[in-house]
Amino acid sequence: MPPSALRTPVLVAGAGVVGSLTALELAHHGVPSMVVERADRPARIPDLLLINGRSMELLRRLDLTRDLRAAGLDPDCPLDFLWSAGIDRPPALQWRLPPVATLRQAYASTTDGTAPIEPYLLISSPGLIGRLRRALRGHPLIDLRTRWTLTEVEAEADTVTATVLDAEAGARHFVEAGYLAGCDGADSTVRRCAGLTLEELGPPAPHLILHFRSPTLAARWANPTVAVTGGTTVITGHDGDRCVAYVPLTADEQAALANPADLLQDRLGVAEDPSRIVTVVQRAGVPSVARSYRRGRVFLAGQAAHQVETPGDDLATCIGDAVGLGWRLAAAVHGWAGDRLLAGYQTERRRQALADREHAVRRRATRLRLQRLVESGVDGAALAAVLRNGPAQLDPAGTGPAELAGVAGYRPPAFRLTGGGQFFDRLGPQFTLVDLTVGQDGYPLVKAARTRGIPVRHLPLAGAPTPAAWSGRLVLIRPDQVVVWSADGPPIDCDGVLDEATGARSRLYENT
Amino acid sequence: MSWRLLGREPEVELLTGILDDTAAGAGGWHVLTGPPGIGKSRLLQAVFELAAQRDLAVATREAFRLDQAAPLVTLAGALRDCTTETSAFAWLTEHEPERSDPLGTLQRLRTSLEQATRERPLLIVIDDAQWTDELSALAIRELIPALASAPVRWLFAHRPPSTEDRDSPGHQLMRWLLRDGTPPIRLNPLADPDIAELSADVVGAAVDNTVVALAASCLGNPLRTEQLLRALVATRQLVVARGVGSVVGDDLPSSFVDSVRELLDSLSEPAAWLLRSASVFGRPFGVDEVARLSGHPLTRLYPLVGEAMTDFLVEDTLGGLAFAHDLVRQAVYSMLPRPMREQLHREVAAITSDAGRPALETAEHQLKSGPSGAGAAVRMVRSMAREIARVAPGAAADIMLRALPAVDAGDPDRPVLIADTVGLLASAARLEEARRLGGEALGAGLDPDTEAVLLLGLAEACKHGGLNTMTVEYTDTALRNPRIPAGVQARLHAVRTHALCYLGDLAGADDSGVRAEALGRPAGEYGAVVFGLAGRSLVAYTEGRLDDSLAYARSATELADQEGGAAAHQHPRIWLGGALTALDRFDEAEQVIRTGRRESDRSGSAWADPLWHYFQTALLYARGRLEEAAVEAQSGLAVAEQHEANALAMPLLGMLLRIAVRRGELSRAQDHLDQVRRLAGDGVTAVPEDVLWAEAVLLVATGAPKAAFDLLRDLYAGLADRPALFAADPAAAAELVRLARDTGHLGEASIVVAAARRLAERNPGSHSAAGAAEHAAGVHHGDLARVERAVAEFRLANRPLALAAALEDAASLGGDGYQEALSIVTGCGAERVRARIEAVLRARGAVAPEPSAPPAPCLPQLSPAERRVAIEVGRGGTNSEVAEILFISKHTVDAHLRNIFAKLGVRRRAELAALVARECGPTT
Repeated sequence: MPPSALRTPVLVAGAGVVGSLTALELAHHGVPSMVVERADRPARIPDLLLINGRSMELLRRLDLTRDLRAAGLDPDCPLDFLWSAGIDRPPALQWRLPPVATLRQAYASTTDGTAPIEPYLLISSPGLIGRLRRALRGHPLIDLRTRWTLTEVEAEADTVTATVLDAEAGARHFVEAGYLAGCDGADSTVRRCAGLTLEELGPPAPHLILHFRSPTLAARWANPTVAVTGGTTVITGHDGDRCVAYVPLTADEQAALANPADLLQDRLGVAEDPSRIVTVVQRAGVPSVARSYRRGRVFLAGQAAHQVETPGDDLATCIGDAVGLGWRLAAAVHGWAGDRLLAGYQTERRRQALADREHAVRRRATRLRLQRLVESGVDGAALAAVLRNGPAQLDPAGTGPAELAGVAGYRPPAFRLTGGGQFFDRLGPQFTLVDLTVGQDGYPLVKAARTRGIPVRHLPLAGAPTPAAWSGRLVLIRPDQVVVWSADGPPIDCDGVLDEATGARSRLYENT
Repeated sequence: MSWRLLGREPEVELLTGILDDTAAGAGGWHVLTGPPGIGKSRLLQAVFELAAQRDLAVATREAFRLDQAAPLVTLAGALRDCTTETSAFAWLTEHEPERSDPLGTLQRLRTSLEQATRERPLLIVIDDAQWTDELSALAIRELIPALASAPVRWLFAHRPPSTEDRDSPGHQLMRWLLRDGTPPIRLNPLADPDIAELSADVVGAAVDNTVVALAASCLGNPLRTEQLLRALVATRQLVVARGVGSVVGDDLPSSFVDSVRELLDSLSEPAAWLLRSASVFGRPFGVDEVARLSGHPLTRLYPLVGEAMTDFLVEDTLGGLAFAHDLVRQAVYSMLPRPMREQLHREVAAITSDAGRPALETAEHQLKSGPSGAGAAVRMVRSMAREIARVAPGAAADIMLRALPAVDAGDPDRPVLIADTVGLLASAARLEEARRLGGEALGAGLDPDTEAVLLLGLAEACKHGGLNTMTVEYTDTALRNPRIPAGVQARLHAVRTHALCYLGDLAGADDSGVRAEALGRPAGEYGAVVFGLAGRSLVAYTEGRLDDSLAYARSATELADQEGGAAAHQHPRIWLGGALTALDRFDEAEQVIRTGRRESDRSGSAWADPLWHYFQTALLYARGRLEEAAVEAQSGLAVAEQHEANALAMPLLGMLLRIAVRRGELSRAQDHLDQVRRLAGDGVTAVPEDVLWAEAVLLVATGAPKAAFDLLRDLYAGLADRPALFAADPAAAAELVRLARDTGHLGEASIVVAAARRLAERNPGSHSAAGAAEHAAGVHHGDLARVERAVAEFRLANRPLALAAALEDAASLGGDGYQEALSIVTGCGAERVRARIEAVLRARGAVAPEPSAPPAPCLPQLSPAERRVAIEVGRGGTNSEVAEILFISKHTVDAHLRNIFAKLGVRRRAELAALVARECGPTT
């Protein structure tokens, strides 16, 4: 170990969405971290991202939602989805994502607890990352180093040493860390250094993402619009005259990569001048997942660990990764959880990535079906039925199936307390035992936890207006707002419950 | 941009083996495939080194997009720059010899290649073969089978087609090559360790995981990897510290285009501008051309070129400049703002035109130079439509198709443009498109004359494609207007004659033939007159008026000889040869076919090729030379397929089917039948004598006489009016009688007898017809005397197969004849009949004596025709020379030689020569 080494409990590689949130989650649990990031500024690719309600709930814990909403799209503006046989043809099918403000009202009047306490957010990726970086910079526990590139990793039994290159100074540093979180994206250096490999889950779906300026296209519809035509998707009206086109390519169309302007014209009939194409992003679209998310003290999260065909579809999973890895690493650093809890990270998150993939396959089948029907000129009612009966193309809530609310492994139902505040806001940063008993019968469990150094907030809520789906009078909830255990009375074996809560119980299943 | 060849060891090993084989004199072809940038050209570089080590002559061309606008440039370019000092291709350096006489040029190419490979084995490499021009593609289709026995090795590298260009001549050629399922040599993405090595090469230093991880995003594509890394180096996002390169940048290019853009932006503004403007050429270019385009003096340009060379340009063998990879060129081009692009194309069009480059290349640039350019492009194409239609109809049609949207719907010229385009599409055998576009034009309302010309073009195209019903529809629509020019009417009638004849409306066909002549003569449209007469000859033949058939064909031939031009291009000797064969005048027929074929070769009338093969096959069949007939038909079929002349494929397949049955090759016959069915499924029609009869023969042979009879029910009914079958195959009459009797249809048997008698009465001079009549009647009535008269007639007619059939029937009626029949069918190679007769003889206890065998010839595995070819090749003759010497077509020599190689198990001409010398003694 060179004497000049920097030290940190957790080194986070990458300050994209996943890296930033991992660091913020760690900080949420009081764990300092160092974040190294190659780039000084957010990537130039202005993707439009949708953060679903459930993800927003998780971000609300980190006190980020207000700040992010300020950078998001107009909450009074809907997002229209149009399917048509040509960009100039009248739409054969329309679907509207209601504005945030509308959904907020609708959620407020939902009483079964399935509605998220935060509606979705539409935000551009530079906007999101810019705000997250600002949060990193402002946090005393986080040491963000931009223009620093991780180049090598040396893992030992109880530390990880990373070689980091400071591009500005041209200097090489060594960072000694307890853990390394590889949040450095699809072309992850950490993954490569750790010798972790991806497993392909399906055939590649190569595509180009074209960012271009088109005043005519941007002004064509009153609201921000996602227009789907012949397999190509265009998003317009969300950012001045900027438009984004997702253009799938067949494996044999690789030559088109060199001439995006013509491609745009071919696919959309949009004769944009090449000079108006701002950026072209090329993606192999190989759905894949890391065979393992972990090697010793090195972890992968986000797109370093899994990739889907269409970018953006995996945002909720990425956010879930960051939160899941963050609280577990914090527990490990604090010493109240051992390796079993860390192992649970891979079990849960990899399963989620695989579930995403399954869902994507079904969604894609419906999309292709819609596309075929639109091209063959089927009437709108039939199309609407296909859309309705297929898997949800877009779920702004993301709180999972109602029948699983409150079940162990899932999100508890949300509700408002008598005073008007959200029950979710009363959950502690660590574990929370919600205690509806009059005699605060859950206390022995809390006590047992504290004896073991496991931080648990005891939340007595006798007489609270819980929704019907509420699962028990005593409910133990994880830091990521997932029910671990519930019963109507105190457990006989408190330690058993705590073992389960902090361990890698195989049937534990999380839905964030 | 020349990285080391990495990770291609298996491919190099495979290709080394292929080159060793070539050096040893074996020919063949291979296709190398993989996406752009995967390293095909780099692998070919390695091949060239290997070829040089083996002292192979190498002719190579890297085709570029605009090859498609320059007839024959792909192939001629390769051969012109052949590494060996050979005079064989010197003529190709003359200025575009191909334009004046494309098919003559093909013949010459073939001869030159045969010459050149006599000296040394030749490797022909076409890189980016997807851009092969259509004349080269045609030539290669012709040359590959033609040179299969010569030490010529073809190697094509191409990228898989996209939906837009999958019907380009180059891609069609690749599909044609791979049609029998031969897998191409596929270049796969490079493995991680190879990409890591490549990265280190590009960076010029060891690289760490940041580089390798990022390079992996290029999915093993070396070109993309290289561009990305170069861009990173150029923008200092990849730095080398302490001998190790790391990616430290914060604005990484997110795609190939962005990499190229970054790299371009790292150049000085004038150098970048030079590259931008040069990207418009779409082909290698000279410094002088860029100088003119950019307005810079040459002296100022050289340093800029030097700057651009590092990352973008390479020098080609002729001193021109080219982009290191077309994908890079495209990326640079794609960034040009549209108005600038159009301006540059306008200027390049002028430069191209001044340099005397192919007109279609100029037109291509004009087309891309904005709306006004489309008009210029169209004018350019139309000004030389006749010439282009012969050498590059497809490319010209594409230009017209792309220009059409720019021509206003109300433009009075538009219909004419469409009519021209339809004509070009028809010339390019793109029938479906021609019909679609033609239909659109017709719907839009044209002036009558244009409409008639358009309909004529469509009718001719349909006729060529075997769609006779549609041909008649088009001609009838056109002829409904009586005011169109007489010459056009004559041509319409001429096409209609042939189509109706195929459809069985013989009276209508004859009537159209009469009109074609009546309208055509005064109008001076002699081509139509000749074609109409040829049609009437065909009608007369079908109706069994053999003398009329001969008279019409003869008068057509005389007119063609007298008028020349379009009349001569109809090659009426085709039908004259057929008529003579039907009349048993075999020597005259052979003479006529030989003369006609030579004329046809000279004038480059490729369409006539399958017809020559057909009538030559018919002649050989009549003479009982079954094996040669099969080879002839097979070559004809190959030619018909090459030209997509489906209508002509049908009768050839019918012949092949019948021959296969006679030779006892029933499974092969079944294959031919399957092919007939496939064509029929595509809407190609054929006359019953050609295919129904052949199918019935097969059914009888497979023991299904009832099915055979059912199939022929209509044919029986029509025999009185069209006894053509008996003229082609006199023994068929008795076969039909037997089939009818065996299946209990005595009425039909009588019809056959009557029809054969009528044919004989109509053609008193024909021994075949007389024989057929006697034979049929004899078999029907079990009358030995009549069958014996048939034997006598067939003997006079000189038709061995018919004679043998009559002899066999005579013998079965108690006469004498088995022995002679056996000896005849043995000589003809009619194995099925031979086996049958031998079985009869065995059953009678008579031992079939060995036919008085002629002294055993050398190489007994070969047929006499093959032996003649083998001996000539053994003497060192090229296929073309052998064809000349033996009076057979080159295609037939090719086909014979393939069979010879297969039978003798040799793969090289030298081996064959050695074998011939050993087995057949001195042959000079």
